[in-house]
Amino acid sequence: MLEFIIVPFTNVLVFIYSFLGQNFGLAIIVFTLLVRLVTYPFNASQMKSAKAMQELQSNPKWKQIQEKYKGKENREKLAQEQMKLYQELGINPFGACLPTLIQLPLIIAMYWAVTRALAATPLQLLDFARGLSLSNAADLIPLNSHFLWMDLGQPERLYLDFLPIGIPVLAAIVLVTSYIQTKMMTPANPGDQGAQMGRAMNLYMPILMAYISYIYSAGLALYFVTTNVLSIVQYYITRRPTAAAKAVVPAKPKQP
Amino acid sequence: MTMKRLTKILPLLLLGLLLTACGSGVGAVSWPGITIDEESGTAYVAYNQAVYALQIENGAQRWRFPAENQANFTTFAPPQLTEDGQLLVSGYDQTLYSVNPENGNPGWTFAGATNRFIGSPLVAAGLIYAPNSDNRLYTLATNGELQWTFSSQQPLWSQPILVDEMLIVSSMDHNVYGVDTGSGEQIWSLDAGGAMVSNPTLGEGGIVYVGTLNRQVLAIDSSRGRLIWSHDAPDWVWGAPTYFDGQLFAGDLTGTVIVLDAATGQELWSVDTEGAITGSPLVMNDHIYVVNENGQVISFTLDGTIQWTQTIEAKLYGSPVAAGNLILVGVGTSEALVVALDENGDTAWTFTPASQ
Repeated sequence: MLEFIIVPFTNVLVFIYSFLGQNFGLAIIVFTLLVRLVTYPFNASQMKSAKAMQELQSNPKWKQIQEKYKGKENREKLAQEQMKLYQELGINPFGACLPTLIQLPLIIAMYWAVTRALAATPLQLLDFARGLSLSNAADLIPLNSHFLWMDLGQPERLYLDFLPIGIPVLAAIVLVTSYIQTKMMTPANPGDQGAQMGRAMNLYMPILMAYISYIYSAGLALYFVTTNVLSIVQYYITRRPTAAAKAVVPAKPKQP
Repeated sequence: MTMKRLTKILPLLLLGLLLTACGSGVGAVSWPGITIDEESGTAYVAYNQAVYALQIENGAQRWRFPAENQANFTTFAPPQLTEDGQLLVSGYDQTLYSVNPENGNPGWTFAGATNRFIGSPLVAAGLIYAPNSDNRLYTLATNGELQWTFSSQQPLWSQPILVDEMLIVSSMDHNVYGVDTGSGEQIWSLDAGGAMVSNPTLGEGGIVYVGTLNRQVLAIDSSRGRLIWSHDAPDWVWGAPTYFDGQLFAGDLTGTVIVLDAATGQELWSVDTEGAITGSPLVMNDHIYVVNENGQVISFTLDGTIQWTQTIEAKLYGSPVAAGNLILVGVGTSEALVVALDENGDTAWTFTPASQ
């Protein structure tokens, strides 16, 4: 279904791998960086919308509206006024969600590209061969799947001599970084519909991502960690006040 | 949970579902592997979550292992019989299983590997040589006790062969190795120029042949590890070449059947079947049988004339196997796991496992 994304993803990933000393871990990190650069407009718009929604919570006008339309019977009116305020402040309420949906196929394609490139089974290797258009493919196959302590084609576990079981380090990092990332995007107001969604995201997203990282290949978990860290860094770098924030700056009191 | 909340987490559920559906736990990741025991009239078929023991004459199921599907257990490599009456099953769950070939009852297991057993083990000289994707060849006694290991640089997917008390191991690390059967010490290695996913083939005079993903068929002197000749194929040579009467038969991913003079590597004839060939050609009763990804089973005479083509509604990847006068083809679809054809290409029987 997503072959038109997966095939070029796989080729670019292998191309980067061939230039980075045949280190597939580094190739995943660099490739993730490239994907983030390509999807920068979506990410920036998502972060802008998320921040605007957060800052809206301390907007006096919004507080007045909430105060004015309290109670269940005014819920519809409150929503209408909220939409008006969004328009006034130039906030797109779906701005934080749509980019996520747009990136969904990219995440799935990345999963397939990593899985296919590592080709841990005969059918995966056959699929990999079909889509590979690099002239030196025969020299590169199979890709070196070892990175640090990990086999990127296997679920990641760190085994220490004094412990009887392996520690899923990457899954834990994915859990923490996914939580930080989703928390950053969450509006603070507990009564707001966006905040409810944010709370659900805060809960489900990190758990789901960590679970996927726990059961699937370390290569995919490495992609999640890299993309989460880049998101967090991007969020803090681009943390400038938006229109909604500017609107709440209190006016200086007039001198008597 | 309210409908509203459900719609909020729908993208996450969708992502989870799509990734889960793509995972190795669901659906087959290889093709059926078949082994024949003419003495007992049994075909052992490894596919996905079970090994099936079938009566060769009519395809009736004798038993299956495990009796019921088990989480994490999948197997695809042709199971191997030992001289002392065991059936060895290569598990994708990092485990090698010993099974009673008469009733499918489990015996010992070897769980000392750290990756999948994709290829079949070799049973020779009272030992078991089991290749694993963790780059190691595990040598076990017939009670499953580890004797020694041999390490290559990349996964081992193919069954080694024994030539004059030396193991010949074709590895995905692009090397063919000569390994001492007693100690596991490397005697020689030869850079084959590309990864190998299928076993070497023994010809005459200790010459072994390998097909590589570097689009070549190589002939190697197994006593010294010296290259004798190489022949360029149109595409990847996935399956092991088949040796018969001084000739070598191989197929590639373009679907070309190549027949070479085994002594010189000179091409005698080739035919394009137009469907990728990943299995080894079968030579039986002076005919060659190949299967391809287009679902075709094609019978050639030894001079390359096509006798008949039978089409099965499936992508066929494995090697056809001789069982008496029948040709068994691993299919691996919901309609059929195995199809048995007679020498005229007519279907003798079809086996479809009962759903679990």
